[in-house]
Amino acid sequence: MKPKDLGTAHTGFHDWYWQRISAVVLLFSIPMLMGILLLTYNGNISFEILNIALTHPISKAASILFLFALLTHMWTGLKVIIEDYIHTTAARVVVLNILLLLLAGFAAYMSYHIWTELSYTWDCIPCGGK
Amino acid sequence: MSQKMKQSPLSPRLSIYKWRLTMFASIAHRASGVFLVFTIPALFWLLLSMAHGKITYAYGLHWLQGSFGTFVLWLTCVALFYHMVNGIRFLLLDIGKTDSREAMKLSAKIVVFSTIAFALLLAIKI
Amino acid sequence: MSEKVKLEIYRYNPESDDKPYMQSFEVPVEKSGMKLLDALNYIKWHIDGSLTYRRSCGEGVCGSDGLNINGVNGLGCITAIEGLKPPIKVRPLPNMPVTRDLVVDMNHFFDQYKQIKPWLQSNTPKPEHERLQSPVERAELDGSYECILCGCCTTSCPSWWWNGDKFLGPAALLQANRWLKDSRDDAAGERLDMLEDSFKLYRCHQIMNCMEACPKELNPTKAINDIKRALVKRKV
Ligand code: SF4
Ligand code: SF4
Ligand code: FES
Repeated sequence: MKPKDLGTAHTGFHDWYWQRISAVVLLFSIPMLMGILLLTYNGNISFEILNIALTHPISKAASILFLFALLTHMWTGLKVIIEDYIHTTAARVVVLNILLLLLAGFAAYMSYHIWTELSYTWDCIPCGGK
Repeated sequence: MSQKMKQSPLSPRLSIYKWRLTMFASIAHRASGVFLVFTIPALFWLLLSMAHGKITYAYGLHWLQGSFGTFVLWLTCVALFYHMVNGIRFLLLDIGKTDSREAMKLSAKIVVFSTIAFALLLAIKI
Repeated sequence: MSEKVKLEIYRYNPESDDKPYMQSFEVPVEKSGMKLLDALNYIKWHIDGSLTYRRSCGEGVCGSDGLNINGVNGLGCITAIEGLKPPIKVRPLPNMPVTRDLVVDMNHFFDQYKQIKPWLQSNTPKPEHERLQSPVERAELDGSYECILCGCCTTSCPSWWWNGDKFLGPAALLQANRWLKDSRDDAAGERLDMLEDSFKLYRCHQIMNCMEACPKELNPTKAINDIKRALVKRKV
């Protein structure tokens, strides 16, 4: 059966464009995240320093910016993958919207986490500590 | 009228197509991206939690320095390195640089082999 | 005795075969520089007359004999036997409905070509003689006009395998870019309108199989990026 030409949807540009804009933001911010993590891992950043560095209002704002660049990049990237491998419109609609909800939930939770300086004090974090 | 007895078979594609480095570079970009979707948000959350409370800091550090945490950190760094370097390669193509046939093949080589070198180096250093 | 080379060829006869299968042949290498098409001709003329494939010019001009050769797409008529590891596996172009043996149904491929309106659309009245271009304007078409529509690129593209019903594929997009660049064409706006679609155009993820496959050594990946840049220019 021959697929019909259904015309042009005039979409795609924005996904493509924002994927690249967010990529450039991440290109500069992710190495900072990993750098801080690695330095902490090596014992070069104590709790006191980490606490001061990441709870300063400026770094909170930077964290939010990073968060949204990350989410934009995740959304555009995963959307393309889903469209590539899932082939019926119904399945695409379902999966894309589940993904959107998950990302939105993550965005809300992380914004709250960043702004209220959420911390965990349970002595049983699922990490094998003790 | 049309006497088509059965549907014509589809000629084979992925199973027979030869893997070129450019194709590998592209698939690896996707694979590393999917992996990072899970680890980067998790590590971001972990770092912030560690910054917010002393106890979480201690637990987090303990987990990171354990063998599983170290492995996750290493793999994330490697995937990230690859995704970033190949990302730069793609961005250069987007703005119309290094887009001759030769440059495209060469840059695929550079990206893949520099990641292997980086992975080894980090494994020794970490 | 002359040297022989082994080939394994994809066979399918819709009248008698349930399923396609691979068949082995041995062909004498008669002259140095022998091409794959020569081997196919040898089989057809001396061993098995039922072997079916397309060819016409025999010199890489007509684009009829696009094949998947040892896993890579190329033209049988200009691919030398010598460079190929035996047994040489010859299959039809990937992801196409097989009509018979190595002959595939190209209708959808050419349909997609038609979708990009591959003809000159001009507002100016028809001149008495040809529409002129300066040498610089003409040079803009280098790297596009050489395309012979063999389909090697499009059928090598994984994005086209998964979404070929909508994604136009590298060959049609290279041609779309050719008309966007043509100084005599006045329909650039409409052409871009038609292309701006997350499936038609943006399915290309720079896998570059197309560039690796093109027997004319063109670069569809770059052509597609040219179109994307033209869209950025228009919008931002
Ligand atoms: S771009 Fe190259 S591979 Fe594609 S149809 Fe044209 S000549 Fe063939
Ligand atoms: S570069 Fe684009 S068109 Fe070419 S093979 Fe890759 S996805 Fe397909
Ligand atoms: S026979 Fe014409 S291109 Fe090969």
